[in-house]
Amino acid sequence: MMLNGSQILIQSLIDQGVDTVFGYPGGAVLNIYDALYEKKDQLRHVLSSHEQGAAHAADGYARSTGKTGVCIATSGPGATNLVTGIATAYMDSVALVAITGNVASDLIGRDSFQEVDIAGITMPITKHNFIVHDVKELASTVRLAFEIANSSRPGPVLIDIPKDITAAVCEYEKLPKFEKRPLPSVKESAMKQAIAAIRRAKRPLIYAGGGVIAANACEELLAYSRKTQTPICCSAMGLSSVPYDYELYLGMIGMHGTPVSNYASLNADLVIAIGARFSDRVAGNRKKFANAAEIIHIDIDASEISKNVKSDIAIVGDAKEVLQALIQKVEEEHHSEWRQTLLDFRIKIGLPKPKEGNKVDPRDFIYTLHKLLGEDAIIVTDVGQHQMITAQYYQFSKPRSFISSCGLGTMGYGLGAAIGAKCAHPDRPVVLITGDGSFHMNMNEMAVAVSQNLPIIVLVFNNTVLGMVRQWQTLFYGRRYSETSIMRQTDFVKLAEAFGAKGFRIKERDEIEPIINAALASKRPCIIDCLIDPDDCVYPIIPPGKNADEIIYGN
Amino acid sequence: MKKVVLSLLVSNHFGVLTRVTNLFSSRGYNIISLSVGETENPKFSRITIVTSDDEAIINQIKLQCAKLEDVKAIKEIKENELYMREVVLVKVRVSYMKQEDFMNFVAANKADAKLIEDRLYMVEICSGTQAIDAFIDKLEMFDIVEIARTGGCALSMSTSTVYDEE
Repeated sequence: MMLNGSQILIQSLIDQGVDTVFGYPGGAVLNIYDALYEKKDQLRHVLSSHEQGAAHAADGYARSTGKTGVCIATSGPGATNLVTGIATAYMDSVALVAITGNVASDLIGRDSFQEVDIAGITMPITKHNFIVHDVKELASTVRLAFEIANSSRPGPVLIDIPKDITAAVCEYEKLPKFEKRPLPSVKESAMKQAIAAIRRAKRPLIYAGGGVIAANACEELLAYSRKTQTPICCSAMGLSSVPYDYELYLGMIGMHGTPVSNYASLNADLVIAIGARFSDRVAGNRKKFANAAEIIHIDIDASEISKNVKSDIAIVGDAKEVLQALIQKVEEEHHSEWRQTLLDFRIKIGLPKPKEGNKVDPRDFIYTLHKLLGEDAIIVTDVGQHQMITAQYYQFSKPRSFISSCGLGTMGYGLGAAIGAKCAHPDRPVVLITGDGSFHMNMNEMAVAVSQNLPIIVLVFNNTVLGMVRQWQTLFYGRRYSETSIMRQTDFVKLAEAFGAKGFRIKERDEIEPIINAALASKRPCIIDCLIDPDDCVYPIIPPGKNADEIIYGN
Repeated sequence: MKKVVLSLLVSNHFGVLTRVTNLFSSRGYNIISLSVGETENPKFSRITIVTSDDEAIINQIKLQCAKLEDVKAIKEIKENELYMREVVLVKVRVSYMKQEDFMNFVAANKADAKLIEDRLYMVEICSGTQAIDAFIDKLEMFDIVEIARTGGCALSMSTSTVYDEE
């Protein structure tokens, strides 16, 4: 069958199992959008307000499903607008295929209108990228891009296609759906060492990261923990891998982690890190982190081993397979003394309690939200205090139900990501918890939620300040509040209405339930403006660069 | 700090060298010297990188390079089997008085000198890094006009090859 490059691209996406793409048209992708027009019944295109929103939407779609997110943008500014979204996906290991048009081959290198070297720009934030020079290579390049994005540790791949390639015609042959590349087999010697270390341990601790979710290994994680009675803490990326009510679940570890998780890291004699990368938000002081413990590091990416914290035993492999093998080989353990120590500590020092009175405290708002939404909800956040409070207090039950930019910390990530998650899960409640700072960055995507009829609830914790930065100014900069009292005069209720969404305002605690229920019942995109205390700080906090023994509980 | 020679077998198409050097700069790794050229198989090029850092970072460099799609294999050539050569070209002006000294110097160092024009010579030598450093030092007794020097290219002086690492 003779097809042009654009038809080949669209057909190749369909052949690779894509049903939804997020994007924005433009000059260099006119041919691609023309081909999309023919196939719009097979390939849903969600038009963003800004290409950054499309990249975040593809990311949210991917994180909430485990499938590959796809976004399309035109050359030049369209392509550069994707950059923050691609970097966000790269830092959190999200499988993303970004497609950019470029100017025609004979215009490349001449500073042509809307020309940019997007392959050069995205080199350090993609697993790999391609410039397609020949239409005959297009279909195989698309398939290879999906293979790379999904194999081993997932990540973004970019395909840049000059305009003439989108018009050139060649014979098209359907390629089979990509397959993940096989992984090298796990070293038996490392497994033996790990089993011996597990047998020796009196105070073991699992530190689970996003890799557990990416490997669909949450059941195995629980089974391992049950058999060996090993408590689990999670990095922010690992949240939702363990149900909140599991008795050995300690919560998040690190800078704003639970007291008991950090206490456990100080006192454990064995830390089993699974699909986690000891980032500076977990191991603030990488020389001192879990110094009393032997460290077993299980990761699919060999370069993560001893990158930040030196591990004693390294198992390079897929978390699911490694855990399955470990479950077979380890003995049942009890560790009753260690479990009791942690239980006692948890009763003595927990997360800060929500404040009394009728002012809204986001902490008990988060509890209430969980109660009203049920186990099925997908919680998306932006970046800042609201993100950490959500990570600390929301009670997650299902994997992939917490979607947040944890590595790059991209303010403005949330609304796009929520749109992506809602497109993938129209029947599940999707709530974006954001702050007034983050929401101002990309709130233009609200227009998409309305035009696509996506009933997302946007909950803006509005404290009129850039809360997290201000908190650091409070704690570490002598309360010199430089440019963090933003004092926007934005009326979020009117804003919602202007976008064609529904607006609500919550000023007092007893309004929370009725308004959340009204927002859910409206079945429309909603913005809830929730006024909170600007001086509220996220605790506990381990100051940057410090170890868990210098934690400030704040209560 | 440990100085190591890394030999990378990479796809032979444009942009690959950029990907490798980009990785070094974005992660703050050091490049002492670098050379690149085609191999016996036109599909592959070989990049030879000399770098130095502590053991843990060297290990990171190898693992991070190995993750690049275009890097097919990476091998550290250990010191005991390292065979590395660089080429240096030096344009030298030699005063009339020193002509004989110069000719003797070139011969003694197994270098090659070609006359460009009256008293101006192109001197070349292919040798190890330290020998070239020493050669240039000594050549300074004449009037050096300009120098062009390649990075080192290396193979292991043993039966092992980069293909063992594929």
